[in-house]
Amino acid sequence: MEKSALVIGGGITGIQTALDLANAQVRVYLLESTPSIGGRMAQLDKTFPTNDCSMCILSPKLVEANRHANITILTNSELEEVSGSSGNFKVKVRRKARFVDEDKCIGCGICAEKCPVKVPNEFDQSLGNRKAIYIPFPQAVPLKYTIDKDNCIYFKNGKCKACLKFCPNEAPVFDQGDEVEELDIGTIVVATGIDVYEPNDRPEFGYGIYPDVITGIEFERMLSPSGPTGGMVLRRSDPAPAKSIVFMQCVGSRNNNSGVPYCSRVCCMYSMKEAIIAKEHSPDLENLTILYTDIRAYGKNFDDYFHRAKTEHGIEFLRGYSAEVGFNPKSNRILINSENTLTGEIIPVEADLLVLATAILPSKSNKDLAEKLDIDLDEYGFFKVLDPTSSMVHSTREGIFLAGCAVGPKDIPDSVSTSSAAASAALDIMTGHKVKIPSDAENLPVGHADEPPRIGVFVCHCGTNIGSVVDVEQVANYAKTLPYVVFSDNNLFTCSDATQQQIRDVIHEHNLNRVVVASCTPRTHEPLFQNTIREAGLNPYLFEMANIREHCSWVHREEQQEATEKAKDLLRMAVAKAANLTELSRPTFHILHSAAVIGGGISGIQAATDLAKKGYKTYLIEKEQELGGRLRDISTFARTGIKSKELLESKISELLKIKSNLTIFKGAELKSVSGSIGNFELELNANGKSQNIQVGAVIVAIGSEVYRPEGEFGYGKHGHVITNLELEENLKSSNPLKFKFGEHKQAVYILCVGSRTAPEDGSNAAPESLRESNSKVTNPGCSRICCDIGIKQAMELQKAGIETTILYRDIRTFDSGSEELYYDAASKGVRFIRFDKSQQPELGKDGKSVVVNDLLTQELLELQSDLIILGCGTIPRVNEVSHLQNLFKIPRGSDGFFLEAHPKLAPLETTKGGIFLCGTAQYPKGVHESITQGSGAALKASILLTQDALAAEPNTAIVDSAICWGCGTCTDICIYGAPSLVERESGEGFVSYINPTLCKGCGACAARCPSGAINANLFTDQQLIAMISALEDEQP
Amino acid sequence: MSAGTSTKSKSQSRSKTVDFEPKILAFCCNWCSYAGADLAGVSRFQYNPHARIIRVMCSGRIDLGLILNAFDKGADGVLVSGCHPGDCHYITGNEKAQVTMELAGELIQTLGLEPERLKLQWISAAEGQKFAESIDEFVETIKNLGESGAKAQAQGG
Repeated sequence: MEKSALVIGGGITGIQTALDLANAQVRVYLLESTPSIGGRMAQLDKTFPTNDCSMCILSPKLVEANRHANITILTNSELEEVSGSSGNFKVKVRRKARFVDEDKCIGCGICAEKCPVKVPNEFDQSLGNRKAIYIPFPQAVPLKYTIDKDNCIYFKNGKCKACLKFCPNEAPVFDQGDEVEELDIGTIVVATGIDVYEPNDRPEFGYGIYPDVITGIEFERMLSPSGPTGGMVLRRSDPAPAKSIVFMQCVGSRNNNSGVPYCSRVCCMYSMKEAIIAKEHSPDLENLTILYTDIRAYGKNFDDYFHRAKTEHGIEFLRGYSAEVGFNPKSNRILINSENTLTGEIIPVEADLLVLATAILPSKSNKDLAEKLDIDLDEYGFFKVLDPTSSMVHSTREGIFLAGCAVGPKDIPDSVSTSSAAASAALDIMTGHKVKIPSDAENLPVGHADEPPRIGVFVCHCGTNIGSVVDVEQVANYAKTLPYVVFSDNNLFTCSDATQQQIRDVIHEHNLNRVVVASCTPRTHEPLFQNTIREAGLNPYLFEMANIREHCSWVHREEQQEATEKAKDLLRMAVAKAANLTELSRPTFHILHSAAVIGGGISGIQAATDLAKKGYKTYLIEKEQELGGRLRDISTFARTGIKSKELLESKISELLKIKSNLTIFKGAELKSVSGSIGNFELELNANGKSQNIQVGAVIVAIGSEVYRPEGEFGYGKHGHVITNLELEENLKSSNPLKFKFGEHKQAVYILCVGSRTAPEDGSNAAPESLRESNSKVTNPGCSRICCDIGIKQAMELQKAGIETTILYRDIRTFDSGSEELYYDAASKGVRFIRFDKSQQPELGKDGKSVVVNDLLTQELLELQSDLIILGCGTIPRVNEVSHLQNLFKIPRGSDGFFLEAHPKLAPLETTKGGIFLCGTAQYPKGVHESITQGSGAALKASILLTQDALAAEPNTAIVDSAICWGCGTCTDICIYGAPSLVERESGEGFVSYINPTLCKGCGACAARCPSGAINANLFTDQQLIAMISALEDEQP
Repeated sequence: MSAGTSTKSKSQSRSKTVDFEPKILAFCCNWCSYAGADLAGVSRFQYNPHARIIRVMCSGRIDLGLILNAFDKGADGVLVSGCHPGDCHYITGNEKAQVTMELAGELIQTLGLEPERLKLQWISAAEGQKFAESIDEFVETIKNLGESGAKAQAQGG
């Protein structure tokens, strides 16, 4: 019996898990309780630290999940019952009645327009309204309406049915009942996400009392251009534009007495983001203040974002906590009495809006779900991880895995990393149930393009999105006058299933050989239409789009006539290009079922284990004589207290158990790399022996370096000034905390040495010197783990009777269990003193004391210390990064670490196909995160390696050998090494050959080829010039 | 009626009004600037309706021939927009575009066109507002310059 995987939760984590499993050839059910997938990320306006539009990067994922042959999305559905065991679960799922026939609904929205009932929209956190028949948000997937039974008039008094009356397709079904489906499931991944605390029970915050006090997620909806205020930042008590906003951090979190003790992990960053975006939306905003406890900008480029928030955007940061929220009737504004926790002073601050960064809570559904799944919850109600030292994705029951915020608060990149890690573990249970997806590159239809063009044009109203601004009928009629156009029509929704059928029919009826759609952006919708014309027997590349929504109706609302003219121009240009389109094929090439993992630290060990377990020939390449990397220097882990040695031994023995597929090279160095995705050849030198290996994929796991503080704080001069790493080695020794420099009673621990070194002026921290030497490379950002390590070490010292004081800038104990460790340390007498970056601590005259300006008391303190520990940051391995950067042509960020393909949604991939990334080579991270990423990167590589062949992209450069001079300009231009000069068959001279598997399709060679022999497919000179020539209307 | 005469009659009536409506051609790279234009749309940032976008994979795809063609075919201004330095999807495509644009700027001057008619702008996928502002600013520049001399020449003017 063929089994599927079940993913519970349709937020970004669940979607990514489903996509990863589906791409690894497993059938997946994606279960979501609300009417659309998308989750929290869909509610966000922008994402930090790039201010990328959240919906723009999410919506392609929604579409991909919806279109994936291996994914069945079950929205409006809940888990009912689970029986059986790992590999063999029987799962009952309740599909709640939508009261709309999903097959009939075309998502046109007329029903909602006509529905007379307005109810608060949960998606907008009830700040805006929806109708009783609704989709939660415009980009909902599936785009199927749902009747909210509780609010529908018909269900209340048996009258109305306006939706049914106006529906063009009779989709509403009032007597639809719930259905229970039974599924054969091999493995389950729980990705339930979070709830957000609403402090109605805490009157001191004023929430629910004053309408101008709102939560961060509510403000997020207000910032959204498609949200309840259209992106305007307005007061809630009256619709006046807000002039001042205060953001308050840690509301209900980091608080043992009233709230949850843990850190919610994302609030500092999202509050900064909300402040920056608010200012962008309303340039008149005068005052933006963030009240904070510690600024936890722990991720890649987060500190840089923090600096820019202060310097470029003028956001004020005030260390303080609200003592009381009230209202000033004179000014008609919220009054916040904030206690400056630095000085103890009470400062009154007034604001038009108070935005509360409230605690992230476990999803309310967790309890019920835990019972049904028979897995454990932790003390807070998140799902319990079986062994947090060794894996963050294993639940307490075999065959059930955890991802994303199901185990605790996380930001998006950390969540999707766990998606891939959970998918990797789940995949191992599903090996007997793989289903091949036929490659879409096979058998592309050809044979129509040589005939004179016969173009069909479809112009979209997009409901009212285009139609309310552009005269769509006029545009469609105009299209009929254009050269080669033999058919033109306008549709309410060109992307609807009904229109796809119309397009296929029209292609046959009118013998079309080119299709143009004038609607939205090709970046999301081109694949849909390409697939449609392919189904009708046309080569999918005989298709072109005119973007008359994003580039026209949405941005020229007030200029309807000009917008219509522009739509005509864009369509005319698209038709001109279409007439010049040619049929393309996608050459396929073989993929080697083997992989190389570079770096034998914990991340690399995990990646190699996961790959070898899945049956791929795996080469693990380590430069030292021993596996283990940085973990060999560590005594115990901060959060769990587990010995590093124990973890390492168990992970290595797990790896070595898999004998058949594994080769480990020690003392090995990479010499050269050739080939491309699916077919790399690596030359390496392992302990003096030259080796050549052929692999389909490469995982880069080279780890990082610890900062060397030569000359700082007397390091190197005084024996009692040591680094955190040296203390760790000492703690590991048989005689811990005995030092050769003698007695010690008082220790001072200085954090952020060699970390967070970016200039405060907000300028880019890119140190050009990175290329020159390894000696004084620092980390411009936060090293993420030093606070945890410092607190753990301080507790060890304290335990040994050494009074310890930690000097810090911000305590960043954001991780699960870290905040608790911090409280514990403080309660055991570890002293914490905060300093400012501009006033670095200094060594006293004899080196036996540290002088620091205490930010709290503004006092200059001299702390006696016979032991000084420097909490040194994590820095990139500059030379190795440069070496691999050159060999693989993968980019490096301005901080010197490798650059991931996308900071939010692709943390494990590089921009180069077939090369993946994990662990601290990408950025500093904790051991458990490195393990998660190792598994995740292995899964990403498996998706490639599980295929027998891969198709090259169609938009590659091609050479007309008849006119090529063989000059070699292209070989100099291309940074991917795609073109090469080969001897002509005649033996006279050379001709350029472009390897389609290496070509990325940028077209730079085509632009610079002096003979004009090179063209860029889909963007040829002929096509572009045809578009340019159509700029002016040449019709009479 | 031939193409030439049709635009001629239009431009004659235009040139009499001070506030002429320019035609701007914008080449946008797929990864950053085209996405930035999409974001301007999603965010509903309103801007001047006189620009027409042609999508290319990378700003490095643009060559002198395409730019000259654009002026020849009636563009009053040509905008080439790509990823910010360091952000190029193809690593250095935008640097190549910069070299091309410097050459093209000199070239159009020798043809008697104002260098301001050609503009290179870095716009990321997250900069919808900047996209809208860039179009507005460029349209303003071109309006102040008036109709392109190349167009007048092509029309035999």
